[in-house]
Parts: sequence; C-alpha cells; structure tokens
Amino acid sequence: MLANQEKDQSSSQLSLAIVLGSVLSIGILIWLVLTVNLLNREVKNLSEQYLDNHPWHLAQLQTELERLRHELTMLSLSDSDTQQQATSVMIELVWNRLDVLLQGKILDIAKTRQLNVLDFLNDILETFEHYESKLYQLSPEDTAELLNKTNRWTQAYRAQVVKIFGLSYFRYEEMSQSVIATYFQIRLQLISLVGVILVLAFLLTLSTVQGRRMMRRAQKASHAKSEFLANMSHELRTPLNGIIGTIQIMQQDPTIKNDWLDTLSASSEALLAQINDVLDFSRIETGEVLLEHSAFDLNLLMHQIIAVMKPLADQKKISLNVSLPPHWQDGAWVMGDSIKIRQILLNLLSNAVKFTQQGKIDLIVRQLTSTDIQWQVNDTGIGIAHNRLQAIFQPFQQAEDTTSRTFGGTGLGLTISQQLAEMMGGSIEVSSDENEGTRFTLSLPLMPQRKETTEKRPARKVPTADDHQGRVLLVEDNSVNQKIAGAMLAKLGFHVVTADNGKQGLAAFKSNHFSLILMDIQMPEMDGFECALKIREIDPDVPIIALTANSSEDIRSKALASGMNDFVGKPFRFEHLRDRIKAALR
Amino acid sequence: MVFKKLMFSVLFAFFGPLAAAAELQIEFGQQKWVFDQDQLLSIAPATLTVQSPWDDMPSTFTGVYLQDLLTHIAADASILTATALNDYQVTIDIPEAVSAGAFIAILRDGKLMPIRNKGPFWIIFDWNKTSSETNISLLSSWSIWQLKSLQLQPKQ
Repeated sequence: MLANQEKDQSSSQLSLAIVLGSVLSIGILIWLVLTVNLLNREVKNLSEQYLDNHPWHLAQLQTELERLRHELTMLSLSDSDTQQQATSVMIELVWNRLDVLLQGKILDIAKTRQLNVLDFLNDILETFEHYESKLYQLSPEDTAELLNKTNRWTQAYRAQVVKIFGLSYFRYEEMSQSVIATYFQIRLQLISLVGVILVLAFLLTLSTVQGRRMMRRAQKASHAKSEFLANMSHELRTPLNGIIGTIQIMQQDPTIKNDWLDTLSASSEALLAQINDVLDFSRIETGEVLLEHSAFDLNLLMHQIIAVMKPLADQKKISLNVSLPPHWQDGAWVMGDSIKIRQILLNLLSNAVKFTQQGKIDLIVRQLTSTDIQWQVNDTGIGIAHNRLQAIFQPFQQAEDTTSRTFGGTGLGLTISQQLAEMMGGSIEVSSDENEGTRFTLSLPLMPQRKETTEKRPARKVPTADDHQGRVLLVEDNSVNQKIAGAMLAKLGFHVVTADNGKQGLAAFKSNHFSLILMDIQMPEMDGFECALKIREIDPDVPIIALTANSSEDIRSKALASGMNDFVGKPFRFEHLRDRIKAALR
Repeated sequence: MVFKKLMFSVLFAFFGPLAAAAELQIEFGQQKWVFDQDQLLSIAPATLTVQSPWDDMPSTFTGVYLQDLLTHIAADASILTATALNDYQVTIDIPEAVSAGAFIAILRDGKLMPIRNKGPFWIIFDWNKTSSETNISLLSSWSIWQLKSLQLQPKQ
C-alpha cells in the first residue's frame, strides 16, 4: 500500500514535471520569437542606416562643393553657354545632395548634439533658393558672390561636417553592437530550449517506461488473481462437497447423526474460515483495515491464545511448550490492537499445528527492550525449501502447489499476518530447513502502558436458555435464514414473531410488545435502516440487533447510526448469537 | 516641403524648356541611341505609384519599365552600367533588376523632374512588391538618380 502510494506520488510528480517542462519550453519559444522579431527590426534599422549612407552623401557633398568651386572659377574666367550649363547643373547636383541629407535621420542626432551642421546646410540651401531664378544665366556679379560663398562653405565643411562622420560611425557601431547582443541572446535561448526539450524527452521516456512497468505489474496482479480464483473455487468445493454429501447421507438415513453432524460442522467451519480469509485480505488490500489503539494485557492475551491452541495440539498429540517473560506474571499492559495480534499468533500457531505431524511446538516470547517484543514459533513439521521461503508471504501462494491439496487453506493466512504486522510497524521472518521444521519470528513495537484500572464488573450469572422468556421480533426476508434464526431463538426460549420486510416488521412492532428485535438490513419494500429509525421514533429503548451478510465497517457504522444497538454478521454460530443477545438484554 | 514644391513649380514655369531638353544616351556594343523625355515616354508609357526610401510619402511616377525599353531597342543584355550627371556609376544585373520592377522615371506626379530633385531620369524599383528575398540595400544602390547614360553589355 505504502509502496503504491509512493509510486503514485512519483508518477504524479513526473506528470507535473512534464507539464512544467512543456510550459517552460513554450515560454522560451515565445521569448525566442519575440527576440527574433527584435533582431529583425534591428537589422532593418541597420540596413536603413546603410540606405541613408550619410558618410557617402557627406563625402559626395564635399566633392561636389569642390567641383562647384571649380566650375564657378571657370565661369568667372570665361562666360559661355556651355560653362553656364555646367555651373548650374553643378548647383542643382549640390542642391539635390542637400535634400537627401536633410531628410536623413542622422541630422536629428546632430540637432540633439547641438552641432552647427544644420545652419551650414540651410545656409547653402537659402543661397541656392535666392539664385534659383538666375540659374543657367548667372551674371558675373552672381558668379563672384557664389564663388565667395562656396569658398566659405568648403572651409566650414572641414570644421562642422566632419563631426557628423564620427556621429554616424558611432551610431552604426551602436546599432551593430545591439544586433550582436540580440543575436547572442537568441543563441542562449536556443541552447536553453534545446536543454529543456532534452529534459522533456528524458521525462517522457521515463514516463513511458514507468507506464509500461505499471502495466506489467497490473497484468501480473491480474494473473495472480485468476490463479487464486481457480485455487479458491477448488478450495471452496472441497468443504461444500463435505456438506452436501453429509446432508444427502443424512436424508437417506435419518437415524445416523452425531458422527456425520461433526463432519458437516467441520466442513462448514472450513468454508467460513476461507471466506473470512479472503475478506480480510481484500480489506487490507483496499486499505479498509484500521488499527485499534487501546490498552490491553499481553499476558492475558497470551493465556487466552494458549487456551485455544492447546486442545488442537493435544488432538494431534503434539506438545505445545510456552515460555513467557517471568515479569509478565503481574500483567504486561501495552497500547495496541489486541485483536490483530491475536489473529497473527493464532495463524502462526495453527499453521505450526497443521504442518507438524509429530514432535513439538515451542512458543517463546521475549521482551527485547521496553518497547520491542518478539514471538518465536518453532515447530518440527515438514519445513519449507529455501527457495520457497519468501514466496509463502506472497498472496495466494503456498510452499508447494501440492501443499494445498494435502493441507487445505487459501494461502492467504501468512500474507494477512505479515501485512497486519507491517501495519503495526513490525515484521514476520521465517527460517527453515526442509523436513527439519520451521521457525517464524514475529517482532512488534508495543508501547508499555500503565495497568488500566477498569472497574471490575460484578460476576454475572451466565443466563441459560430458560432465563429468556419474552417475545422477539425477527425481521428477515430470506426464508432459510428466517427458519434458522427462528429455531435458534426458540432454543433460547423466546417466542418468535417473524416479519418478511421492514414494513411488516414495523406493523408487527406497533401491535405488540417485544423485548428484542433482530433486523436484517437488505430487504424489499423497507430496509433495516429505515425500519430501525421508525421503531426508534416510537421506542428509544428496545434492543435492536442488526443481522447481515455484509460485514463491512461502513454498514456497521450505518447500522449503529440508525439506532441499532449491535451487529451480528452472517453466517453466525449459535453461541455467538446467544452471547450478543445476552449482552443486549443486560 | 510645400514651399519647396511651390518653388519647383515656379522654376519649372520659367525653365521648363531647359529641363525638358534632357537626353538619355544608350550604348549597346556599336549601337547608340539618344532619347529625350518625349521619345522615352512614347515607347511603352507606364505609371508606378511607390514610396522611395528617400521620400516621406508615395509619388506617382510616369516613365518606362527597363524591360520594355530593352525590348524596344532589341538589346539582349545581361548587365548594364548606369552613369549619373556627376559621373557616379553603378553596375546593375539586368535580370535581377527587371524582376524587382526596374523603372525609368521621367515624370513625378505628372511633372518633369529637375536635376535638383533627382531628375531628369531616375531608375526606381517597385518597392511595393519587394519580397524579403530582395536585397533592399542592393536596390538602393541601383536606384541611380540624375541618370545620364546606360551602357549595355551583350550576353557572353
């Protein structure tokens, strides 16, 4: 159970890791796309910078200004149509260059740096606009004036415009640095993306492997269960054969009785024991079994167990030797679940009795420390082969396949015992040599407890059948069960009134006085819970005992909640029913 | 801008004849052609509305596609060298330029272009349809303004 929970947890952690990994990789991918977009923008800016190509235009401006100066000089020396044309075309070329420069973004930077470049360029532009109407027919005065200005511009160029080269390169450098940084970022993102994807792939592989392993385990479990069912049906048929055969013989010859009745009883008991084992096992498997935590006397418990086992050992002529710690004589009070401890010890001891044909059984109890107690059960029985030692704790397994044929049993007893011991924080270990006997060692941690000062109940006079003189209402829909319970109650001296369902039961209760009610749970028309609730509305005191074949904790607590006083599981023995009735009437 | 445009109209009104007199010389091996604006416009008149990287808004250019011009003079050339008034030269790969919509602009918004505004001829491209594969920088350097002559080189 615990191991399974750990596996579930690790598998859910794995799924969580896969989801996180996916989210992370999607996140990085989105970031990558955004960064690539950024890079795209930066590269575009860079290419626009190239497009503006200010250094080129500025260099051209310088050349063209020099050429203009040359043309103007030539024009001032000799005025001709050709020279007029050449000079004005040159002016237009410079003008065009200024337009291109003034549209570029570099001049925005120049403005913020408070360079006088703009003044310089605007000065040229305004001069040209002034002479616009005179182009292609410049007078000698215009030529002289323009030549004068051009001389000044070429000098100013060296002072002002050169600074723009630097700015332009600086800007270009800045932009390429940023492109390089972005590119580097993209590379990092790609690397981390590859890393995350690799981890994700690893996790997915892990998950697949885990899923396959779990599937295999489930298949194995299902196989073991089918095997168990086959085994079970064989084991159930054996006592059933005893029951049916005995009944047939009794029907044919009503005079024979006692011997066959014992066979009938033994077969039924065997059948019940097997069904109880299966139920116990399935409850442990589904985690339905809860540990009780109460104080009890281990010394008393051991004596009770010995009292049960001694006659069985005597029957087979085996001696049962018990050794308890001497200081337990005054009582050994501990906290724990006495019922489960009793179940384990009875299982170990009855196994020992079952598999021992002659010799003896030793039960040695040791108090190792104040909280650790060890029980050793040694027998001189058939023993277990080394390679089967661990298998005997597996569900539905016995030491040999042939063992169940010889000794019977479902093979669940040791599994249940070991699981119970582990639930209590202890263990069961086994050592054996084939044909030399077996040693089981049960170790349990049990906290010592101060002797409980329970008030001693006054010794009760055990009632006999004749003490019960009263009316009992038996609410039960199954006629066979009605007959059996009716007969048992009559044997106890009760007058029995039967009802077939809750509705009839309620009607019977209203018309008569009853000293006790036995209530089945699952019935047509009105079930036992509802009937008990309705009866409780009328009479809060009359004892009601639930009788049901469904013995789960859930039904038990529901029965108590609907006002019933006690709970008896079917099938029940006469003695058990008698005891519960006695307790209820007390 | 508006002021400049106005000045340009005034200038054109005065010096229209001078601006209109521009010629484009084309050489192809031993063959030579000289086209003025009107002659070029009569080959295969076309308009292209596009915003050049040097402008703030789109203009409508009238002129002739390079492909149509080459077809007209039946010149099977693969490379051309374009020269501007300031003797700037650029070598253009004709198939690539044609696929980018190379266009010889003569009128901008219905008017002849003066030298000081990239006239008289300007090789532009259909920047509207340039795809991501187009090398924008290359097109920019091929967009030669104040065009004076084209030397076509025959295919090898």
